[in-house]
Amino acid sequence: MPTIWYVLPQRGPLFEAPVPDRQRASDSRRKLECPREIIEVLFGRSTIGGFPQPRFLELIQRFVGHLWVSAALYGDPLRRKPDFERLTDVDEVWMMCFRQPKISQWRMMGRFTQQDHFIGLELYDRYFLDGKRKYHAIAAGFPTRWNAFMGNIPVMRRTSVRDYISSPNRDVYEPIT
Amino acid sequence: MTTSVALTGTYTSLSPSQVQEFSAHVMEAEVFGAFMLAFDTRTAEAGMTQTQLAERLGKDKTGTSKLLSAPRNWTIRTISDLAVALNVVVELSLRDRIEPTRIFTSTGVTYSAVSGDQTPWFSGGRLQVGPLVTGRTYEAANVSLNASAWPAVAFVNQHVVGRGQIGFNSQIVQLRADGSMWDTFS
Repeated sequence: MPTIWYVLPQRGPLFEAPVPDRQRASDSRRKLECPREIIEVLFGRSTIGGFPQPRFLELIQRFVGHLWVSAALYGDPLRRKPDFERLTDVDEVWMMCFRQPKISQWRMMGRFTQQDHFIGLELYDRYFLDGKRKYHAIAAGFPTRWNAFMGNIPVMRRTSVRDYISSPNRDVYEPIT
Repeated sequence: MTTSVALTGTYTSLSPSQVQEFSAHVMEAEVFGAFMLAFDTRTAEAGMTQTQLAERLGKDKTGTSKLLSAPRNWTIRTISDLAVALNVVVELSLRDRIEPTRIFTSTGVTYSAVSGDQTPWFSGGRLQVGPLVTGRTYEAANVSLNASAWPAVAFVNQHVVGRGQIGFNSQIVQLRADGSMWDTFS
């Protein structure tokens, strides 16, 4: 099976990511939408090796199934490893972080268009993004690629994790009293 | 502008060991999320602090902070201690994947969404309830004819309000909606 560094669909419809374990999902408002190529990879329906990863599906289950997820609004300078991370110095670029297993970490680049509605357009092997300059350059180009793919769909710009993701959630940089 | 399209069919295919790994971590998040909501509510309503929680748990603040930082493989003792500290009761229910309306609890079997004719009846050695939309009946459970095992089945679903009947030691026993014996008559 071939290995890949990234999945960068250029155009096409979006598909709602299915709940991996449908019987376990409660009534959920949360929605993850991606191009078909990304969903095919994440769910092991492509010819790309290493998928499906149960821990990747676990994060999808937690988000789409309305379970606990964590997030950070200003990058992750203290390495608190949130599930969703808004990158700094770029305009509303979020990463959905597939951090487990450690030897095969991936990142889905996307944006929230409304509360609980994340659109992930690009998928990267974390090792491919290694190096701050390279990481930032790829993220900086994302808004342009987003506009080419999505048109002028409005993007959320808020100051609280709760605005982006409904409870249960945690801003990993918000101190617990 | 793109459009959203629905996917159909079974999309996930994991090996048995992958299912175990997936399930364990999802369950960690389910338990953790519920306790975090309880703690957040206690904080908002009663001003509970992490220090107070640590005192109630008999832990230091660092240990408590770690406990509240992310889902982990908690032991039953940890779950129980948190439940005591937060003044909540843990209710465990096991939903049957084969018969999804059937829920096993620590005190009996219940049904979450029985529809149609909701009066249970006894037939073929089993207590029956239904029919459901598929046209087949849902078997409630095997019903023991041993009096000491009574009640074998509990109907606590809010929709099951009719009294069923069950053969019991050559008698007809009427069944309350909660599964207890209503009355006996020959």
